[in-house]
Amino acid sequence: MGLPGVRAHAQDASVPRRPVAPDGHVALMTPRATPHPDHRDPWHELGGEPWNRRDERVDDPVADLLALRGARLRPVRSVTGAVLGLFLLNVVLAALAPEFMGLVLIGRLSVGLAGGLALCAATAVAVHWYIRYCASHVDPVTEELKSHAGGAR
Amino acid sequence: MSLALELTAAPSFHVFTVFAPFVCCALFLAVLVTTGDGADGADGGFYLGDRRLSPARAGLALFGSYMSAATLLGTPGLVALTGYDGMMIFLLGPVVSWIVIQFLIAEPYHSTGRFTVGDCLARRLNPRPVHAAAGLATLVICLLYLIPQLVGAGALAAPVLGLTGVAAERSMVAALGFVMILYVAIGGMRATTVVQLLKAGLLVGGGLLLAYRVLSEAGWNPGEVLHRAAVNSGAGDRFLNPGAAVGSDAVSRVDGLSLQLAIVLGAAGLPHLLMRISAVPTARAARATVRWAALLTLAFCLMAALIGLGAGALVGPARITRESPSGNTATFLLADQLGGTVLLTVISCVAFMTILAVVSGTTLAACAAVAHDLYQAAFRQGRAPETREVGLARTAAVLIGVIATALSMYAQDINVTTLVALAFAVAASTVLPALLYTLYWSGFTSRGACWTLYGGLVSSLTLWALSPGLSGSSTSLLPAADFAVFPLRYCGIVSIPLGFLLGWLGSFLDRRPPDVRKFADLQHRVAVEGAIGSPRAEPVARATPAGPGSFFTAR
Repeated sequence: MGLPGVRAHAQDASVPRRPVAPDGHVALMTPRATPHPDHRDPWHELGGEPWNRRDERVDDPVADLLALRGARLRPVRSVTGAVLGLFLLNVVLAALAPEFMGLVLIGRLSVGLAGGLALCAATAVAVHWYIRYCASHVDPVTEELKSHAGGAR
Repeated sequence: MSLALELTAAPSFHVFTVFAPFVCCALFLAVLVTTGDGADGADGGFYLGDRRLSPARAGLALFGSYMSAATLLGTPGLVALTGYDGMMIFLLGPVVSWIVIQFLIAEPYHSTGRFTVGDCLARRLNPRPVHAAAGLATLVICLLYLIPQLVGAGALAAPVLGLTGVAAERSMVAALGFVMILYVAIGGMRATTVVQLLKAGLLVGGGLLLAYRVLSEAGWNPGEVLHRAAVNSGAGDRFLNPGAAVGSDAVSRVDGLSLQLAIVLGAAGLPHLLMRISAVPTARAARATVRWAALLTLAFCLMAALIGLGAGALVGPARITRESPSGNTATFLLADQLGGTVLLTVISCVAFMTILAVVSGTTLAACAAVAHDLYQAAFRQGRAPETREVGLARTAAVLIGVIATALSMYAQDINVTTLVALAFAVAASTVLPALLYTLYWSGFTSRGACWTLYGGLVSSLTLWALSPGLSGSSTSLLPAADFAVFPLRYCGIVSIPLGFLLGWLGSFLDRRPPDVRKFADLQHRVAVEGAIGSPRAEPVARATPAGPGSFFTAR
């Protein structure tokens, strides 16, 4: 679990453990990671020497993990948009171009009916994909966050 | 010869003799389950049950509270009469709406909410005004959803009692309302769960039975069912093309679009569904639950399409419209044609359970809004004792039940579809924007929440009052009056964007800046799936395992 180098480093009790998602992703210096407003930065507060000052991006593992979780959830938002977009396309086409939706494909199956069936299939596939994707990509980050922050605050 | 007259001739007596013991058994079962242990009051058991259902069962119950009588009785009739439009509007919309619930709402809502929508909003906003606004919106949505369901129960009078006429329909509505009040006031969420599980199983079974019979009649070829329904409809190819139901002019096309938008987005804001989502143990269980519900809905909607087309093919639109112009009895006619009295009895019991399950769930959500949001959080500011709140919830169940039943008894002629669509439109323009902004937008403020909840409520209700749905046409609620200024029958296409816009504008104009820290806490809660073990107790912060480095990351 995790990168061997990082684990070995983390076993040293004097160094704070770095968050590592079980799939090996080291949450380090994630761009766009915003620090939690509660997180203290004592060096910064005490006005320490600038060359001693901590880089805020590095030492907020919870914020790093939150940003990682957000990034992992981005495909979920895209899929939501895609399915809803397909549905809207179906609805708008039925309103604006009923002749096109009425084109017959096979037997009694028109373009509109085929589109409806395809949307049903897309919904089922999307729901299944979501369950598997979350179990493999989002839940590990959640577990890491839980162990790090001690559950709900 | 009408269905009722055919039935009074001989077999209606059998239907009733099976039906009455069935209802008594269901009632007895629910009371038995409820009185198992009396630990109701303390931990939100009245609202959420014991929260120990497995995802598959919870999904079945969620499916049971979503699929209303409209889907079993109304939709097949509409499919038989209007073909393509009926299928796309009333069957595809509910299926796709699960995408919104599953991907955007279910897990974050479970992690942040306790009993009601107001609890979720109050986690980061000013509790008192937000609870009041959310409670009011919930109450209105529930009443708007409850009345058409109870009105639909009147359609059961003909097949079950063998009687037609207003008096028979009213007595059917009153009986159903009475059973519903008993369930909710005595049993709370536990009895509701039982009746929803029972109903969902019966619904899937009944749907399978009818779809199986239709397919076997058509030689196991779905294309044959489509073909015969199209030929029988008299509209030929137009039956399977868009435009049969909504009409072809520009206004009615926009109307159809508006209805579909409201159905897809509104489901994610229906309080009784959100309450069911809160009633599972963890956020991951909520995810699996919604998956089950979505798949069951998909399967049932395909069956309902088959049933509707089968009714069009085997019964024929002429006989359906003679029974009921809106097609509400098509399923009964099909059952009667395919399986005689036995199948008709089964379908009647299924329909009764369907209505009972949906109205119980909705009433429960309405009492939670009254007792928890309006009384406890907004009026007493959380100081009332638990027993008092639960007692008030039981009283509210009786009151809301009586009011809704009385209104439904005297509104038998109401257009059911319009009212259900209005409930969906109100949900999509109040609760949905408030929830999405709360969960995903850091700049949302209490004023924004109040503006979106009150503004969406007022705008959608006003637009409905000025629409042809209330006055100015022969199919409207007040056909004599005419003050319909707004051209559209369904207001969703205007009120939903307006609800989102008001939320943004209210937050933008709020003098107090948004509380970034509370939003960060909420995001953190969602990220760690801050499931609430005992929903009453606020979660206690646990210390991080101490190490030398914890000084830097201590929070």
